[in-house]
Amino acid sequence: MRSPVTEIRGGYLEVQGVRLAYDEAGEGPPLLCLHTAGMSSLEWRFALPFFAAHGYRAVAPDLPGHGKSLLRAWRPIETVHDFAEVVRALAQALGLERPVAIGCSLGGDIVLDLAAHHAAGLRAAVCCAAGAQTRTFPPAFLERGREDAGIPSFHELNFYRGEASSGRGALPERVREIQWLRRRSDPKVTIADLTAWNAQDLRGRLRAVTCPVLLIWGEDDIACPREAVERTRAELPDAELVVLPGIGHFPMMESLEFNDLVLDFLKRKGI
Amino acid sequence: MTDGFPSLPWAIQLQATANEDAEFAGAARWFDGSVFLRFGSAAYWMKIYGGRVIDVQAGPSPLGFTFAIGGEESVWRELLRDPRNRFLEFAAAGRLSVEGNLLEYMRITKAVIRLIEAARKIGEARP
Repeated sequence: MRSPVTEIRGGYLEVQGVRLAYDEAGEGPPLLCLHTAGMSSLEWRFALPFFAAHGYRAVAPDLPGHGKSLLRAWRPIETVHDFAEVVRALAQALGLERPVAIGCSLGGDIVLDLAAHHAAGLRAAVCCAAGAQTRTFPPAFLERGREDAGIPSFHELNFYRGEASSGRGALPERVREIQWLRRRSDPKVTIADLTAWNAQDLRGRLRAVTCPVLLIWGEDDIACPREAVERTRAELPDAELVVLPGIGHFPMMESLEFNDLVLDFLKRKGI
Repeated sequence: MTDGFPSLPWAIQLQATANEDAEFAGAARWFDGSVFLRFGSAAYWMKIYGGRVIDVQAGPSPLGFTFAIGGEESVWRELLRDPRNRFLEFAAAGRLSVEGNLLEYMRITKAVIRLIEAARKIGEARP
């Protein structure tokens, strides 16, 4: 019997002139899983086989400049909307017809942007640790971080922040994995991601989101404030919010409940 | 060649050229220190702050330096003439030495590379 890990297949394609990498598993209604700032599709390695086993085609791309995907024009992307347009083109190129967009943190911001601009193109959206406005980093920190000399020990900071951003109830081995994944982040790409995250402002745009939205927020999340998620829910026409106790900024890795939570949502929405 | 490399006018030209470079300015934005450049028997001290070279002096400064980069004048001339910036190659091979606060030196690697690039832009000629 094959192990769940071997069910994940990797692939490449060119979108908007950029060579992108993605992981995927399973056949069925398409799920598009988007990773957090500075990270890669590896964050979805636990979710992909689960969704495949439940009859879905789950695809997790590496955003441009992340994982095995190249940069677009050798410059990091600095707006959520630019990421969203790349993701949308990738979904079309892969033949993902009206996917369910699922994302966490920066990935969650991208999901909301996709939903705000192209709601008819989505069956549903799942948005973790993200919101309509996520200006959470001091601009001076991001400005300093544009140069390596302005952010010494970036990798150590990212490593320890991996633990600080995880919840008290997170599985210890998953926290360790989060830390080591974060340690390999590229500083320039990560700072550009956080610049995009900081500039996210979809306030007043979410009434256009006609698809159902599941918002997930971990009670121990230090990177995305609950108020941002609550305000987002208030503006969305069809949204529900699930708060996970003891979970932080990476529910799809920290929590064993995450997959069941999303599956239940999909089933209830007839997907 | 009078006042060409190495000379105080040349070092002052290096200051001006580095200060025209936005890449140098960004990379050196968070450095508060001094670099001592030794070109054989000639040496120049440069104070860098806020992304700019704010002072240049011939010889060592009584204030000391954060780090020093030095080598034979002939090695520097080779570095200035080569179509490719071979600074890191020369440093790795020990043809140029770096001493002092090596952590600060590493932290502002890009600024050092841009400073060397400014020197290469001027070349050996009289400014």
